[in-house]
Amino acid sequence: MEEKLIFFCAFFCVIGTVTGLQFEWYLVGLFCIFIILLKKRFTWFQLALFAFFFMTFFLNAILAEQLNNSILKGNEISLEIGFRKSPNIDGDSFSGFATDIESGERIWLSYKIQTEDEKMILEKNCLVGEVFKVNGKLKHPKHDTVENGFDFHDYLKRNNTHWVLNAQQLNHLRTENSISAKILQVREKAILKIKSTFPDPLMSYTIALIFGDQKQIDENAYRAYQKLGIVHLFSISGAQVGFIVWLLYTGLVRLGISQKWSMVIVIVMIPFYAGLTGFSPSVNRACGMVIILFISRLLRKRISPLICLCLCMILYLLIQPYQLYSIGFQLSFSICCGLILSQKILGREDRNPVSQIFIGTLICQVSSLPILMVHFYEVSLLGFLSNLIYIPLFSFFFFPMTIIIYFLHLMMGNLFHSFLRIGNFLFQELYDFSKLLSNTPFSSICFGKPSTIFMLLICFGVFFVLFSLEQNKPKQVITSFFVLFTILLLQFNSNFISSNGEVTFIDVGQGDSIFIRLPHNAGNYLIDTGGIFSIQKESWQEKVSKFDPGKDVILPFLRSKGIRKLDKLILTHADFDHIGGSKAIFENLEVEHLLIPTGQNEEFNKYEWFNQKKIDLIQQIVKTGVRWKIGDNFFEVIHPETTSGDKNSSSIVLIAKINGVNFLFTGDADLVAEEEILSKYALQVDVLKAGHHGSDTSTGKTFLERIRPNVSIISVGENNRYGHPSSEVIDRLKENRVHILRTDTQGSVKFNIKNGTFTTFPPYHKAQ
Amino acid sequence: MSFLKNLENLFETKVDKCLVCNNQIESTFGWFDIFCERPIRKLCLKCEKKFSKIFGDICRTCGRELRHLSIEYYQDGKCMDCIRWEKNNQQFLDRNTAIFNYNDFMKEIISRIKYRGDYKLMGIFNDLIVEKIDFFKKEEFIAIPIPLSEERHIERGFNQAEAFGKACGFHMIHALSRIHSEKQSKKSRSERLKTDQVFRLESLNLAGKKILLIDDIYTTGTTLQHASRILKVQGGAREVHSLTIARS
Repeated sequence: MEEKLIFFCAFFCVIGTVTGLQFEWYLVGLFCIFIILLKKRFTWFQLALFAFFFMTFFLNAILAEQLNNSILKGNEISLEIGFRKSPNIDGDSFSGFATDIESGERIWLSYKIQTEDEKMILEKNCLVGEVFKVNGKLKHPKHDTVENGFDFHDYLKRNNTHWVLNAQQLNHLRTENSISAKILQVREKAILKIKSTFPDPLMSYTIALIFGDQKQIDENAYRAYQKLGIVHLFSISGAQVGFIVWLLYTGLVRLGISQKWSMVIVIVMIPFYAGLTGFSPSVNRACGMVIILFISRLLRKRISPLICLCLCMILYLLIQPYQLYSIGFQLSFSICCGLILSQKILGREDRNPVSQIFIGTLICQVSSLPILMVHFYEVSLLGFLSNLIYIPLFSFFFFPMTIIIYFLHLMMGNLFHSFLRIGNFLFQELYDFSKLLSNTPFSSICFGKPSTIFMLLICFGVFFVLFSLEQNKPKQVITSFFVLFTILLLQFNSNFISSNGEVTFIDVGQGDSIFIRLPHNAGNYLIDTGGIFSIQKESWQEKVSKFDPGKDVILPFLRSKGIRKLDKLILTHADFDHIGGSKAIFENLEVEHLLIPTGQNEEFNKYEWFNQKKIDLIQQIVKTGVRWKIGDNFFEVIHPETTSGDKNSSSIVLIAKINGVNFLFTGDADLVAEEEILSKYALQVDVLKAGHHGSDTSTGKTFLERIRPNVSIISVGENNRYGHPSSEVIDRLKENRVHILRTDTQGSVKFNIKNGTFTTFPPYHKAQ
Repeated sequence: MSFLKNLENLFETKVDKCLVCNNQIESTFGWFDIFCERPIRKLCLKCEKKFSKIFGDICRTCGRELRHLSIEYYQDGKCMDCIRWEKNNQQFLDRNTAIFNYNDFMKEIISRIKYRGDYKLMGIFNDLIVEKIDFFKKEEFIAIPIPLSEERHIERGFNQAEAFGKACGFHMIHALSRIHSEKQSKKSRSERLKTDQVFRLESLNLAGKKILLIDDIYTTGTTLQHASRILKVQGGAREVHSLTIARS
């Protein structure tokens, strides 16, 4: 009775918070539907209570949104700042949250470290508690310029941060001696100690498992663990908190302290432990639950785990409604809730321990499915299997081992060097094994980003499965799995079903990348892949995770679209800003045909990954006349005809007629190439991708006058060093009354094939 | 004032207590409870486990478990008792459905109901046999409780067979009444088998109907056989089945 009431209260708190944070009418509709559905099961008074919770959390979220304002004006040029957490240092970049001492407002600081010595000082010292004077300009953070990309603006806003400070100078002013700074320092200093004494893989895992900071883990390793669906093992879990609490509590009781006072001490200590592990949502959840449980014990009230979880959730959302967006929060609460609600499934008496672990893993996987789908667009197939292996491995071996090594090291110092090496070796082996496992084909399936309706359907499927498992009727269980499977299959084939397609000019900075997706999955083409030149740097300046448009922009974008195979990858010519990202594409996606222009084979083969391409890929060297037709859509290569010396002028130029709209994709073709094309073809063009990022060596006057485009897209990076696009080209386009869309100022440009409209990312109202 | 009362109701925890052991029933909130309302439980899990439900191979006629009998006591899925009834041409009951074995726990429950008048305890069974009840209801059986003699009825205050039928939600017809008044449980087996007809048929329009007799225990089957005989011979019933809580 109590449980039912509080469970639904918590449920309405969540709906209320979501509605407050992003108002949508369907959410209000959902609320009404639930109230109507619950009408028979509750008294009017209880329904009023639900409505009250809904409204309270709705207003709470709106209030949080209203109060989330900036005090800084944006014209400050010098600020005194302090850190509450160590910023990230990678190569010569230094970035992280900082607090303006005067206003107390949080900002995002990004700074380019000047010298190697400076880097040493910043790395070796605890920056928490130190005050710096920074000079620089405050800027608004940017929204995502690629569809379904990472929205840095919203991320910062949810952390009550409104400005990005690009610091020119970072000068140490003084050291703060407040108590709060001292407490915060404990964690940072311990992490620094590990960093300086532990060998690498061991170091990163120790920091992750004991202090809850996963940033140290190698990016490739992290990706491998993600593919296996076991990244959650590297964050501190509720079970670990439970273990620590149990240790503390029994220790205190053994010391002769009464149970009552032991509980009081634990309640007081627990927040410090949460702080030590960096206040991650899963730790906060577990600590909150422990506190609620112990308080209820002190009040001599029995409280069920579900009530404990729900109260914890209600309080958490009341204090921090923005946390609802955090993946950690969502996963932690949904899995915990899934396990608690499945008590009857887990506690069935005819289960032996093995089947219990099996079914427990299944419940975790199923209840986290909707959240993983919406954030990562893919589901780890190996996840189930790997969790079966890794969860016991971590909870009974690696986690205790790390703790033992850490504490032995604290006590014995360097005497335990060989011990460190053993630990290091084991983690290295773990990584190698995981990498091997994650490289097996079909380790994960990409589903693409589910729409809201599909999200609701998937949630329904998950509920149905768990409901049936509890009912324990074999027929119903099979039906429910079948239903969930069907829903997932529909999502898997959403591109086949969709009658809409797109032509997207992806914002990859300075470079080109155009993605064409024809309706009903008739064809997925990618023209060029972007690429960032890396300037020769000294080794200390070199970043571990270098920005690569292929890996960091195009692949996530394609994943979000549910693209598992590219029918054609067209690389117009062998310049790095067009093919630099193709390495990541080859490594992660299936490519059926690769189209490269005639005469540039050698240029391509200069890049090592072209020599190591997969065997099943068909490489076509194309020139004028190559054409293909899919339904009413027509594609033809109209350049180059012959081999010429210059890479740009022998770019592949492609015309495409998609749903009656004529596109001209020019690559980096220059004026010579344009003339050549004009001499052979009478073109009718609606949408022109301006050649060579809007450089004045392309998009000639006569060319424009002859082809008469309506819209021209310039794919160009912000503040690029070539000065693209040239003002001449802009003028030429304007003279011919061509509408200009630029990826540097407007972000990615998407053409919707079905309704023939252009969309930019971020949308216009957000970009202002 | 009603507001205050509501407030009280809101936080008042309704704890279900086990009708047998009077302990609090622990109910875990699960996926089912999110979507549906669970019926109020009358038994705790501990007590529920003490029941021994009849399952596996059973005698086709009297519904007794055959597993525990030694092999010479049954043949072709029928127990020796039933075969003996048949041989003597006294088999009138088509089929008995019993739910539980008559173990010590069951003995205690039945005696609590019958001799100590714990009438409410009768309500614990129907949840456990929903499917069987539904079957009989669907097949449109006419439910008839085995009657008590008037003397016994006054002494006990209620008829346990009728109470069982009522708890199961049957609409019952009192077609039978008793002419003899000696207590069955005080008689030996041979005495019981010898007794003549103890029932009288009250209503006569049972021709071609399917009858479901309801009783608490099937011990030797005499009572039910007698009732079946009178229903078939005098009443002209087509089929007579019976439903009992226990089979001893």
